[in-house]
Amino acid sequence: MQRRNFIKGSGALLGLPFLESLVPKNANAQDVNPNSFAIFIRHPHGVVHSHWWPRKPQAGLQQNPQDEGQATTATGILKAENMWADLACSKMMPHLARTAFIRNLKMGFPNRNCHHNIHALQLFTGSDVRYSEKQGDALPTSESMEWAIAKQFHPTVDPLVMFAGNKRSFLNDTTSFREDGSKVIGENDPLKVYNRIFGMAPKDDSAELLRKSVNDYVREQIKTIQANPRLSASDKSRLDLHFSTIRDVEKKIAKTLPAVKVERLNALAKDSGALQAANADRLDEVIKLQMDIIALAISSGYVRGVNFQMLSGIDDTQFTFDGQRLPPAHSISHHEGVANNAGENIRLLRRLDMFWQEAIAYLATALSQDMIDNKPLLDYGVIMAASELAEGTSHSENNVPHMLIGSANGRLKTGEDFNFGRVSNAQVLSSVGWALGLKNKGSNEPMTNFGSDKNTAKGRINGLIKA
Amino acid sequence: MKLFSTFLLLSMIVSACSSPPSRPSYRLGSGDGIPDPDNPNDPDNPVDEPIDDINSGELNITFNTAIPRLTHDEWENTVRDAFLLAGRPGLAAKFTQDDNSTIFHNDSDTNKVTTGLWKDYQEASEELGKRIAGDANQVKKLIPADAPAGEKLERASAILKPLLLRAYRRPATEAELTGLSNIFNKGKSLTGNANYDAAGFQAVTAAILQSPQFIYHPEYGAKDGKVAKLTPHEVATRLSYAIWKSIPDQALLDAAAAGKLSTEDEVKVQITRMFKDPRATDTVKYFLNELFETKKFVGLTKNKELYPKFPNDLGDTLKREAEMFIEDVAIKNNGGITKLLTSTYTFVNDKTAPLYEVALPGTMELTKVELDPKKRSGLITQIGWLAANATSERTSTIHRGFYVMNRLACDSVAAMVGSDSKPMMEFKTRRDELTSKTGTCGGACHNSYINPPAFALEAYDASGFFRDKENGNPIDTAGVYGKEGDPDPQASFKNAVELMAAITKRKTTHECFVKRAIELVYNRRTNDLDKEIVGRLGKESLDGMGAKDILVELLSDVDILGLRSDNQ
Repeated sequence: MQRRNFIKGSGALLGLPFLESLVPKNANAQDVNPNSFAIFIRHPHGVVHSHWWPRKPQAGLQQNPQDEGQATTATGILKAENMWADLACSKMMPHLARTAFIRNLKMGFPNRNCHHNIHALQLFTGSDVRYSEKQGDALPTSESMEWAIAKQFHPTVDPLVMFAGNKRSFLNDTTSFREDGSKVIGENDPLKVYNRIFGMAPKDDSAELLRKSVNDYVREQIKTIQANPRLSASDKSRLDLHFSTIRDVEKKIAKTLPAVKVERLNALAKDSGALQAANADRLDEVIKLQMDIIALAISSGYVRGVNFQMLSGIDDTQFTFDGQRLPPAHSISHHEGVANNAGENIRLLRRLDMFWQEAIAYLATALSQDMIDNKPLLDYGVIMAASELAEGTSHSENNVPHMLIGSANGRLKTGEDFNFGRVSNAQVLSSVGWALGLKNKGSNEPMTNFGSDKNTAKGRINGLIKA
Repeated sequence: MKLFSTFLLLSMIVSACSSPPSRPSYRLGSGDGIPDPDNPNDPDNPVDEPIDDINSGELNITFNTAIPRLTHDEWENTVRDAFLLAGRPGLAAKFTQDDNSTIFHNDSDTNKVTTGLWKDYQEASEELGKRIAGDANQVKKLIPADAPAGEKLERASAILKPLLLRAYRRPATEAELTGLSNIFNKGKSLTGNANYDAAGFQAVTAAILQSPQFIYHPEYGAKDGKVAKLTPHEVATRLSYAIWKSIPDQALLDAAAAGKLSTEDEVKVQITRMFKDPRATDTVKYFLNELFETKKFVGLTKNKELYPKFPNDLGDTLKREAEMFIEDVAIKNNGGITKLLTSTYTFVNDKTAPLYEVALPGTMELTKVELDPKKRSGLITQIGWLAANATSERTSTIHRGFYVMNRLACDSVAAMVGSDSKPMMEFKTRRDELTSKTGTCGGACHNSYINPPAFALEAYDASGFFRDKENGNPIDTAGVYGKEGDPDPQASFKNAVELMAAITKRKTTHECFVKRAIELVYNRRTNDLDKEIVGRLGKESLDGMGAKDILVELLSDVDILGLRSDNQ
């Protein structure tokens, strides 16, 4: 059963404009499963490495590793015995066979001129970064992978781009970029996203008629402007983008979240202050609601590519876990949340790490609920969860934590804790792209390289794919 | 010579905070992601190596779009004024956010119509159409007295002509009028509303508000080398959006039609008239409130145990305090950036007075008071700004310093890394800690531009309360701002008050203020075409010119007002 069966109009099954998203474009049918998808999630600050990855148990050592020196890391087949309860990776236990940890990854392009966001820009683009004095900002030179997915598989529907948290810094919206490297603003209001995907149906026939008339008029107007000889190529491109957004038929997708969650979404959105406060203090709850929406958008076939940036990284988000309100996440990541108490800061940072993996596991579970041809939906795609920094104090670009959940229909190896040596994050992207059936830019060849050609380490990771 | 001087200027701007350009490289070692300064072979230790600057030598004569999109703020105002509404419709609050790369979220090059925004426009236009159709008085207000009776195209056309003149900021073409009149005329069938006029407005409102002629305000102009010279109507629209953030009025359109917007005197007549409108005052206030980020003050809370004197319902009051201060300095007294950074008064009530250590005014109304001039100097040293640039527990030291460097001095290394190479050490003060942590990568900027103001502002805790000790240790607030070779001499100071005095004596600060004004009124970043006016008005600002007068002078320069950078 394909996902099209989940998609309904106002009470009836309909052929929808985005159904074309389920038909591979420019791809060999055998390479591409019509249910494949990829979700790219960025978690901030890096991690506490000693408690992020699986570890081998050792004789005489309790599964409560206070002394980091005594435990050893575990690579190879993922085993339950290596997922100690104190480790963040323990949250992935329900999805052990579908998870791949990748250690020792590096970002393809080093930090230059001390730009704080240079690694985040590469995370899902695999791209080199250009710094524009005019724009006063650093930007990648190419697109992030969810846009490549959309372009190839559902060109009339944009990928879903979401953001968790309040936007108060220059690290807002640093993970999703169009082909020309232009920044895509992630939506941080979950209700808005929910309504956009699941609540756009015209109320009646006359509303649909009006929309059709208006759309016809607007298209004509855009064509008129485009005919102006004074318009530059880049402005024509702006209008092309505008033109492409206009859709005659926007149907409601029949799937909905449980009523209690919709109620919560509405409560958060009752005024902007409520969402702002929740984003600052109860972001764990908001993130899980966002994960619910992502899972629903994938399971309904609305999109096949998602980009989800969790926090800017330097905002003032303060999580509350088990009744304890933590200092701002950014301060903890710098080991400064509790002044002059390095041990306590590490403990709090580990609690944050636990949450990142818990949230990712939550999404994986949600994607496992739908069965397609007796397989969980999760098996058809992949979640790539990554941080662009190794950890929060050094901001190092080496040993950046990456994990994959889902095998993209059996084309990626999972159930292992990998260490491929110093491969680059772009190589993970290339491998994921290949598994999804993406093509190299400008050719019909299966993807071998995503992102910039200037990457010193490029190509797929042979140990990660099932050729 | 001109090219050389342009290059020199650009080089100075680029090098202000990026020389020597550096790139960390990594060596063999543990590679565990954690730097080890004691191990020179640890690959996670950043080291500086020179690299070529990415854009070195590139002249900053740029391209700006000919079809700037309305910002959401402009959309609200334009809808209000085009449809003669009593107030802003409040629908844009739900829109996908404008691009947030710039202070005012108004960079016309990056603000585009995306799928999400198109849906937002669709929903908002349909909602507004229904609102108008459901309000008989509003419908009546939009119908000209001489519109012919009957449910026919002629009536639709007569109704739409004046509406489109406002909505499209120019007379509609015959094709536009015909197309929209047809939609109006078919309103009853398109909407199911039985009232011809109401149905017509419901339908046509949706069409107008989604039209690119409404969403964009084109500035095609006539190409002349690397610039485009705008037409009179385009100049009129630019002026109205610069000053009112909305559509031109009839007088401005008349001036455009009569060709009376081409000389400085002609333009100044209009600007002087337009600045008498309260909407112009709103623009000045908006400029300064956004520059100082006063909206961040709302909802401020502090840890009650650490800051028991800070009531957690103070955010709105602090925002209002800042608004009143800005209004008093910039509107009532026509002050500029110097006064904003050095005035030693503010507005307090019985809740906020204790935070400033001044006598209670005996009222909850905000009341003007003098502060201790040895402790407070301008908006940056007021409770709201200081508390907003702090977490609930501690000062955001780097962010405070970065603000001074980036917002006030326009040093545009917008993405700075503080490489904390000694994470596990303990320090007596934030100054000690950050001096240690920012000494490697980032030191070039931190040591000269970020840390000095950051450390001076450590005299105020996370609640904005003045202090001279941190954790029982004396706070050292002295420093030197800038570095040798800067356009301005290095400035020594002993504390935040002296820092503010020093900053306001720097040419760079005033030129930066002018650049921010350009960003606001022209919805774009500055480029080399602006350098003459930036220098000229920067000097005027240094001599005391007020914020409003800078905007007036900026818009009176017809070489800036009437041109669009078109290097493509």
